[in-house]
Amino acid sequence: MKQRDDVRLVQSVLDGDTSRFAEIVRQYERYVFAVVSRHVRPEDVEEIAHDTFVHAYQSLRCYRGEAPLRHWLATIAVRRCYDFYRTRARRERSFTELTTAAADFHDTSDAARAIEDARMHSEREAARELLQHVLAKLSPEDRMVVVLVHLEERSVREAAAMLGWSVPNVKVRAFRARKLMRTYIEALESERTAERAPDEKNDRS
Amino acid sequence: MKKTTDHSDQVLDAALAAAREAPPRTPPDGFERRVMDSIRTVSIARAGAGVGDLILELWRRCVYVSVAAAGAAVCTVLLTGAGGSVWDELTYALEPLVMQELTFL
Repeated sequence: MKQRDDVRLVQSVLDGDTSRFAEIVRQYERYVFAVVSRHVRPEDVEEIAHDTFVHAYQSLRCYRGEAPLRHWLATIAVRRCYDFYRTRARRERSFTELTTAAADFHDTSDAARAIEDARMHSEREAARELLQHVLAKLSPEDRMVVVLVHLEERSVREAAAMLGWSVPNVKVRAFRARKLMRTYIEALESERTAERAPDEKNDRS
Repeated sequence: MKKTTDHSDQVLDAALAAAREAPPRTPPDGFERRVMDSIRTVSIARAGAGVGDLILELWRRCVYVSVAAAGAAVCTVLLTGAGGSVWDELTYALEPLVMQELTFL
Protein backbone atom coordinates (compact mmCIF):
# COMPACT_ATOMS: atom_id res chain seq x y z
CA MET A 1 0.00 0.00 0.00
CA LYS A 2 2.76 2.38 1.08
CA GLN A 3 4.74 1.50 -2.00
CA ARG A 4 1.74 2.25 -4.25
CA ASP A 5 1.34 5.62 -2.54
CA ASP A 6 5.01 6.32 -3.10
CA VAL A 7 4.74 5.45 -6.78
CA ARG A 8 1.76 7.79 -7.13
CA LEU A 9 3.63 10.54 -5.32
CA VAL A 10 6.69 10.13 -7.53
CA GLN A 11 4.50 10.13 -10.64
CA SER A 12 2.83 13.38 -9.67
CA VAL A 13 6.24 15.03 -9.22
CA LEU A 14 7.31 13.69 -12.61
CA ASP A 15 4.09 15.03 -14.11
CA GLY A 16 5.18 18.52 -13.12
CA ASP A 17 3.92 19.03 -9.57
CA THR A 18 7.38 19.72 -8.15
CA SER A 19 6.00 20.94 -4.84
CA ARG A 20 4.88 17.39 -3.97
CA PHE A 21 8.51 16.42 -3.66
CA ALA A 22 8.30 18.21 -0.29
CA GLU A 23 6.08 15.33 0.90
CA ILE A 24 8.84 12.88 0.03
CA VAL A 25 11.36 15.00 1.93
CA ARG A 26 9.01 15.25 4.92
CA GLN A 27 8.32 11.51 5.01
CA TYR A 28 11.87 10.31 4.62
CA GLU A 29 14.15 13.05 6.00
CA ARG A 30 14.56 11.32 9.37
CA TYR A 31 15.33 8.01 7.70
CA VAL A 32 17.88 9.57 5.33
CA PHE A 33 19.52 11.39 8.25
CA ALA A 34 19.73 8.07 10.12
CA VAL A 35 21.38 6.32 7.16
CA VAL A 36 23.85 9.14 6.56
CA SER A 37 24.66 9.48 10.28
CA ARG A 38 26.23 6.03 10.22
CA HIS A 39 28.69 7.00 7.54
CA VAL A 40 29.84 10.55 8.15
CA ARG A 41 30.58 12.81 11.08
CA PRO A 42 27.64 14.70 12.63
CA GLU A 43 28.67 18.05 11.15
CA ASP A 44 28.57 16.60 7.62
CA VAL A 45 25.24 14.78 7.88
CA GLU A 46 22.98 17.65 6.84
CA GLU A 47 25.01 18.45 3.74
CA ILE A 48 24.96 14.84 2.51
CA ALA A 49 21.27 14.38 3.36
CA HIS A 50 20.48 17.54 1.39
CA ASP A 51 22.60 16.31 -1.49
CA THR A 52 20.78 12.95 -1.33
CA PHE A 53 17.36 14.53 -1.83
CA VAL A 54 18.55 16.83 -4.62
CA HIS A 55 20.13 13.86 -6.37
CA ALA A 56 16.96 11.78 -5.81
CA TYR A 57 14.94 14.54 -7.44
CA GLN A 58 17.28 14.62 -10.41
CA SER A 59 17.09 10.83 -10.80
CA LEU A 60 13.41 10.43 -10.02
CA ARG A 61 12.70 8.92 -13.43
CA CYS A 62 14.93 5.99 -12.49
CA TYR A 63 12.64 5.00 -9.62
CA ARG A 64 10.45 2.23 -10.98
CA GLY A 65 8.55 1.31 -7.85
CA GLU A 66 10.04 -2.18 -7.73
CA ALA A 67 11.46 -1.57 -4.26
CA PRO A 68 10.16 0.69 -1.49
CA LEU A 69 11.12 4.32 -1.97
CA ARG A 70 13.02 4.31 1.34
CA HIS A 71 15.37 1.59 0.00
CA TRP A 72 15.95 3.59 -3.15
CA LEU A 73 16.71 6.72 -1.10
CA ALA A 74 19.01 4.73 1.20
CA THR A 75 20.99 3.54 -1.82
CA ILE A 76 21.38 7.11 -3.06
CA ALA A 77 22.39 8.25 0.44
CA VAL A 78 25.03 5.53 0.72
CA ARG A 79 26.48 6.37 -2.70
CA ARG A 80 26.56 10.07 -1.83
CA CYS A 81 28.50 9.20 1.33
CA TYR A 82 30.92 7.18 -0.78
CA ASP A 83 31.38 10.10 -3.19
CA PHE A 84 31.89 12.40 -0.22
CA TYR A 85 34.78 10.28 1.05
CA ARG A 86 36.26 9.82 -2.37
CA THR A 87 36.30 13.44 -3.34
CA ARG A 88 36.35 15.57 -0.22
CA ALA A 89 36.90 14.16 3.24
CA ARG A 90 40.34 12.76 2.65
CA ARG A 91 41.53 16.01 1.15
CA GLU A 92 40.03 18.26 3.78
CA ARG A 93 40.50 16.59 7.12
CA SER A 94 41.42 13.38 8.79
CA PHE A 95 40.90 11.95 12.21
CA THR A 96 44.54 11.72 13.10
CA GLU A 97 44.41 12.94 16.67
CA LEU A 98 42.75 10.78 19.25
CA THR A 99 41.71 12.04 22.65
CA THR A 100 43.39 10.25 25.56
CA ALA A 101 40.11 8.57 26.46
CA ALA A 102 39.74 7.11 22.98
CA ALA A 103 43.38 6.07 22.84
CA ASP A 104 43.03 4.38 26.21
CA PHE A 105 39.85 2.57 25.28
CA HIS A 106 41.74 -0.34 23.75
CA ASP A 107 43.71 -0.76 27.00
CA THR A 108 40.74 -2.21 28.77
CA SER A 109 42.23 -5.58 29.45
CA ASP A 110 39.39 -8.05 29.13
CA ALA A 111 36.55 -8.33 26.70
CA ALA A 112 33.74 -8.50 29.23
CA ARG A 113 34.97 -5.28 30.78
CA ALA A 114 35.41 -3.65 27.37
CA ILE A 115 31.86 -4.48 26.39
CA GLU A 116 30.50 -3.46 29.79
CA ASP A 117 32.45 -0.23 29.71
CA ALA A 118 31.27 0.50 26.22
CA ARG A 119 27.80 0.73 27.67
CA MET A 120 28.77 3.55 29.95
CA HIS A 121 28.33 6.94 28.37
CA SER A 122 31.86 8.34 28.43
CA GLU A 123 33.31 5.01 27.42
CA ARG A 124 30.83 4.81 24.60
CA GLU A 125 31.97 8.16 23.32
CA ALA A 126 35.58 7.03 23.53
CA ALA A 127 34.72 3.82 21.72
CA ARG A 128 32.97 5.72 18.94
CA GLU A 129 35.91 8.05 18.60
CA LEU A 130 38.28 5.12 18.40
CA LEU A 131 36.12 3.60 15.67
CA GLN A 132 36.09 6.87 13.72
CA HIS A 133 39.85 7.07 14.05
CA VAL A 134 40.31 3.58 12.66
CA LEU A 135 37.68 4.06 9.93
CA ALA A 136 39.46 7.23 8.80
CA LYS A 137 42.54 5.17 8.02
CA LEU A 138 40.64 2.93 5.60
CA SER A 139 40.14 3.59 1.91
CA PRO A 140 36.71 5.02 1.02
CA GLU A 141 35.75 1.62 -0.45
CA ASP A 142 36.73 -0.34 2.67
CA ARG A 143 35.09 2.23 4.90
CA MET A 144 31.76 1.94 3.10
CA VAL A 145 31.84 -1.85 3.33
CA VAL A 146 32.75 -1.84 7.04
CA VAL A 147 29.92 0.54 7.90
CA LEU A 148 27.33 -1.36 5.87
CA VAL A 149 28.37 -4.89 6.81
CA HIS A 150 29.99 -4.66 10.24
CA LEU A 151 28.30 -1.61 11.71
CA GLU A 152 24.81 -1.68 10.21
CA GLU A 153 24.94 -5.48 9.98
CA ARG A 154 23.49 -5.57 6.50
CA SER A 155 23.97 -8.72 4.45
CA VAL A 156 26.83 -8.80 1.97
CA ARG A 157 24.28 -9.08 -0.83
CA GLU A 158 22.39 -6.01 0.37
CA ALA A 159 25.60 -3.98 0.75
CA ALA A 160 26.68 -5.04 -2.74
CA ALA A 161 23.36 -3.92 -4.19
CA MET A 162 23.56 -0.56 -2.43
CA LEU A 163 27.07 0.13 -3.63
CA GLY A 164 26.55 -1.35 -7.09
CA TRP A 165 29.49 -3.72 -6.57
CA SER A 166 29.74 -7.50 -6.93
CA VAL A 167 29.00 -9.75 -3.95
CA PRO A 168 32.50 -11.34 -3.95
CA ASN A 169 34.10 -7.89 -4.01
CA VAL A 170 32.12 -6.79 -0.94
CA LYS A 171 32.75 -10.10 0.82
CA VAL A 172 36.51 -9.93 0.34
CA ARG A 173 36.64 -6.25 1.28
CA ALA A 174 34.57 -6.84 4.43
CA PHE A 175 36.98 -9.54 5.58
CA ARG A 176 40.16 -7.67 4.69
CA ALA A 177 38.98 -4.34 6.06
CA ARG A 178 38.11 -5.86 9.42
CA LYS A 179 41.52 -7.48 9.55
CA LEU A 180 43.10 -4.13 8.74
CA MET A 181 41.14 -2.42 11.51
CA ARG A 182 42.37 -5.01 14.00
CA THR A 183 45.92 -4.31 12.88
CA TYR A 184 45.43 -0.57 13.46
CA ILE A 185 44.08 -1.22 16.95
CA GLU A 186 47.02 -3.49 17.73
CA ALA A 187 49.42 -0.82 16.47
CA LEU A 188 47.73 1.74 18.65
CA GLU A 189 48.07 -0.59 21.60
CA SER A 190 51.79 -1.07 20.99
CA GLU A 191 52.23 2.67 20.61
CA ARG A 192 50.53 3.35 23.92
CA THR A 193 52.52 0.64 25.68
CA ALA A 194 55.77 2.11 24.36
CA GLU A 195 54.71 5.59 25.47
CA ARG A 196 53.98 4.37 28.96
CA ALA A 197 57.13 2.30 29.41
CA PRO A 198 59.43 5.21 30.44
CA ASP A 199 56.82 6.47 32.95
CA GLU A 200 56.51 3.06 34.57
CA LYS A 201 60.29 2.77 34.73
CA ASN A 202 60.48 6.13 36.48
CA ASP A 203 57.76 5.12 38.92
CA ARG A 204 59.70 2.02 39.92
CA SER A 205 62.98 3.89 40.42
CA MET B 1 50.01 -12.77 18.96
CA LYS B 2 46.75 -14.70 19.09
CA LYS B 3 45.89 -13.05 22.38
CA THR B 4 46.48 -9.58 20.94
CA THR B 5 44.33 -10.40 17.93
CA ASP B 6 41.51 -11.67 20.16
CA HIS B 7 41.78 -8.57 22.25
CA SER B 8 41.73 -6.16 19.31
CA ASP B 9 38.80 -8.13 17.89
CA GLN B 10 36.89 -7.63 21.12
CA VAL B 11 37.78 -3.94 21.27
CA LEU B 12 36.61 -3.55 17.69
CA ASP B 13 33.33 -5.33 18.46
CA ALA B 14 32.78 -3.12 21.49
CA ALA B 15 33.49 0.02 19.45
CA LEU B 16 31.07 -1.13 16.72
CA ALA B 17 28.40 -1.89 19.33
CA ALA B 18 28.84 1.58 20.86
CA ALA B 19 28.58 3.20 17.43
CA ARG B 20 25.38 1.22 16.72
CA GLU B 21 23.79 2.72 19.82
CA ALA B 22 24.67 6.28 18.86
CA PRO B 23 21.51 8.33 18.22
CA PRO B 24 21.34 9.59 14.63
CA ARG B 25 21.24 13.30 13.88
CA THR B 26 17.77 14.63 13.26
CA PRO B 27 16.84 17.08 10.49
CA PRO B 28 17.09 20.71 11.65
CA ASP B 29 14.20 23.16 11.24
CA GLY B 30 13.88 24.42 7.71
CA PHE B 31 15.64 21.44 6.15
CA GLU B 32 12.70 20.65 3.89
CA ARG B 33 12.45 24.27 2.73
CA ARG B 34 16.14 24.41 1.88
CA VAL B 35 15.94 21.19 -0.12
CA MET B 36 12.93 22.51 -2.02
CA ASP B 37 14.76 25.78 -2.76
CA SER B 38 17.65 23.84 -4.27
CA ILE B 39 15.26 21.69 -6.24
CA ARG B 40 13.51 24.71 -7.72
CA THR B 41 16.89 26.05 -8.83
CA VAL B 42 17.65 22.71 -10.45
CA SER B 43 14.23 22.73 -12.12
CA ILE B 44 14.84 26.18 -13.59
CA ALA B 45 18.15 24.99 -15.03
CA ARG B 46 16.47 21.91 -16.45
CA ALA B 47 13.68 23.87 -18.03
CA GLY B 48 16.28 25.47 -20.27
CA ALA B 49 15.91 28.99 -18.96
CA GLY B 50 18.17 31.65 -20.39
CA VAL B 51 21.57 32.16 -18.81
CA GLY B 52 20.51 35.58 -17.54
CA ASP B 53 17.35 34.15 -15.91
CA LEU B 54 19.40 31.49 -14.24
CA ILE B 55 21.97 33.93 -12.87
CA LEU B 56 19.23 36.18 -11.52
CA GLU B 57 17.32 33.30 -9.97
CA LEU B 58 20.48 31.97 -8.37
CA TRP B 59 21.40 35.39 -7.07
CA ARG B 60 17.87 35.86 -5.68
CA ARG B 61 17.97 32.56 -3.81
CA CYS B 62 21.57 32.60 -2.70
CA VAL B 63 21.46 35.87 -0.85
CA TYR B 64 25.11 35.62 0.09
CA VAL B 65 26.31 34.97 -3.43
CA SER B 66 27.00 37.97 -5.63
CA VAL B 67 25.67 38.25 -9.17
CA ALA B 68 29.29 38.09 -10.30
CA ALA B 69 29.85 34.77 -8.50
CA ALA B 70 26.67 33.29 -9.95
CA GLY B 71 27.64 34.58 -13.39
CA ALA B 72 31.14 33.17 -13.01
CA ALA B 73 29.73 29.71 -12.31
CA VAL B 74 27.59 29.89 -15.43
CA CYS B 75 30.45 31.21 -17.58
CA THR B 76 32.89 28.58 -16.33
CA VAL B 77 30.62 25.84 -17.58
CA LEU B 78 29.91 27.51 -20.88
CA LEU B 79 33.56 28.31 -21.58
CA THR B 80 34.97 24.93 -20.57
CA GLY B 81 32.36 23.22 -22.72
CA ALA B 82 29.95 20.76 -21.23
CA GLY B 83 30.32 17.18 -22.36
CA GLY B 84 26.65 16.27 -22.24
CA SER B 85 23.82 18.60 -21.53
CA VAL B 86 24.97 22.12 -20.75
CA TRP B 87 22.20 22.42 -18.21
CA ASP B 88 23.14 19.25 -16.39
CA GLU B 89 26.71 20.45 -16.13
CA LEU B 90 25.47 23.81 -14.97
CA THR B 91 23.44 22.21 -12.24
CA TYR B 92 26.59 20.57 -10.90
CA ALA B 93 28.48 23.86 -11.09
CA LEU B 94 25.74 25.60 -9.18
CA GLU B 95 25.62 23.06 -6.37
CA PRO B 96 28.53 24.56 -4.40
CA LEU B 97 26.82 27.95 -4.52
CA VAL B 98 23.59 26.47 -3.25
CA MET B 99 25.57 24.70 -0.52
CA GLN B 100 27.25 27.98 0.33
CA GLU B 101 23.86 29.51 0.81
CA LEU B 102 22.84 26.69 3.15
CA THR B 103 25.98 27.10 5.20
CA PHE B 104 25.24 30.74 5.84
CA LEU B 105 21.51 30.54 6.45
